[in-house]
Amino acid sequence: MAIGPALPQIPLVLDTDVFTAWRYRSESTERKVSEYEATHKRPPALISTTVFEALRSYERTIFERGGADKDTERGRAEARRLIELYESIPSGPSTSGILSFDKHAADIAAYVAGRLHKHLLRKKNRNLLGDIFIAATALAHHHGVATGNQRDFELIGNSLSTSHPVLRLAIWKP
Amino acid sequence: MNTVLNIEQPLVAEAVLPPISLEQLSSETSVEIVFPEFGCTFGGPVTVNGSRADSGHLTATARITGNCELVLEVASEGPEEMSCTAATIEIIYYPGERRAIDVFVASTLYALLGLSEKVALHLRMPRREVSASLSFDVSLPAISGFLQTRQLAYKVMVIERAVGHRFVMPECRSAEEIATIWFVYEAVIHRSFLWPDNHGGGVLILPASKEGLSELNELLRLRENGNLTFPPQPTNRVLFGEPLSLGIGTVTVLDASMERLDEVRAEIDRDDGHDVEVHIRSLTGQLRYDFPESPQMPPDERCDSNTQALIDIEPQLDAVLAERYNGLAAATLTGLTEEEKAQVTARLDWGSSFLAEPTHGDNVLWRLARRFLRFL
Repeated sequence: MAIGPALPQIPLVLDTDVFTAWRYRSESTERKVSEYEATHKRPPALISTTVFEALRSYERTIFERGGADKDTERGRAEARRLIELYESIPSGPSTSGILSFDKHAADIAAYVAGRLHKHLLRKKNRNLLGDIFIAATALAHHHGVATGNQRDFELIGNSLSTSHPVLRLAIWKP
Repeated sequence: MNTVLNIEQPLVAEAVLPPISLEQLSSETSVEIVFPEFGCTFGGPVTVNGSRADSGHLTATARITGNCELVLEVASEGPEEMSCTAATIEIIYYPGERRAIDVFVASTLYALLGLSEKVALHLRMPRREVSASLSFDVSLPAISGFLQTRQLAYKVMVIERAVGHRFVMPECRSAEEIATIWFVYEAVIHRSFLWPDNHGGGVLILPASKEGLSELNELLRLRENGNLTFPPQPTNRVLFGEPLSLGIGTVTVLDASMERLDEVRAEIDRDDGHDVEVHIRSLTGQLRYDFPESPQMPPDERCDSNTQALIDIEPQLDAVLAERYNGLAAATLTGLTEEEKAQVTARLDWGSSFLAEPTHGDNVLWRLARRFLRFL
């Protein structure tokens, strides 16, 4: 087992679902983000695969429609603006607020995904691989994860070895 | 190392004033920057530099802190026209001996310049007052940086008052220094606090001997309810190159695990004096520190009212910062229908993309063929 609580000294990343809830102005998510900002003076970090997921959805929508309408284009521009801004806000030991899925993260993700292979094949776990990427990237960059999906992230944490850092979880239900 | 004091980059704004003459600006003038939403004012009486008055230029400087100045430069349109309507406001932080209080005030001012909807310039002259609105260009990441610097400076101020010593803050900060400031601040304010174990625990070296066995048994005895508290010992930290004593304290490894305990015991039982490593780690990554003797803030000593007012606006600063970030996140979905929102926030089905098929290098047809052949 390598799961622990999020402590105020540890910076967090938002998992994709919490990021989405934040964009939807979920009251409880905004409150949690605000509490975090009161301590860290910046929002929780994002990881590169969350950025990919967010931008890909706009691109797919625009492609399938055969072009961008005004609102979708504005939404995409705002998403890019937010991401650019994030890039210039250091988070913990990282110089950027967007954490890369790098070699260290890939090592951790491969270790976990190999051990959760059977879980990954189940339809109900369709987001599990994405969550493995998030947890692995957070661990590689010495961050914890803010998530509403306690089950998946505990499953991931319990698959880590004792040589991995502790996966710190802040449970933020939308 | 991150550069901390980006307050050292001057911030400049242009102001449009009601007409004032250069003669009206004298040492009896006060120049202030006012933040009505936050109830804060910076500035005061000026010193006037009139060395370029012949060419219609005049500079008035008000001191904000020992290192920070508010500089007003007015220029008339020509030597014959001595009435000015345009001014440049500059806030300059001079590098020098960086005291925590100066850094705190300057970074608060810089954050306010970015967070305030309304920033006003007040000129108080004998028999006349002039106001103008100001706009400074401060990015949100810069505001976050100023607030982080402000927070650190405040913690250093608290530590200074507790230990009765004033520090010089360096221009750059390392992650270690930031961690030390947090740690000492926690020891001063809370005395008992949780701290992350980021290093995967620690290693104790015991001799493979009877003494080693008795030390191991002592360690096991110290572990209660899964937590391992080491005996009290004097604790020191070094902050900005200066040693600080936190008194006698204890560290407790929460949810402590001693790894390979059976192997460790067997090695110690060999009784040949060799070193045996005992790995101890917190399964939940938490340590608890207790410093019952840590330095405390004097109970009756308070900051001056101006500094206290700046300390007290912290929740307001945090609320405005949060609203800015919340607004940016929400803007990514503004104007979209519920259906469109669902579409642009749909998660990628990573599982089906990468793992739905067995990865033996064969395709569905071959798999079916192999199953069929099994029945032959």
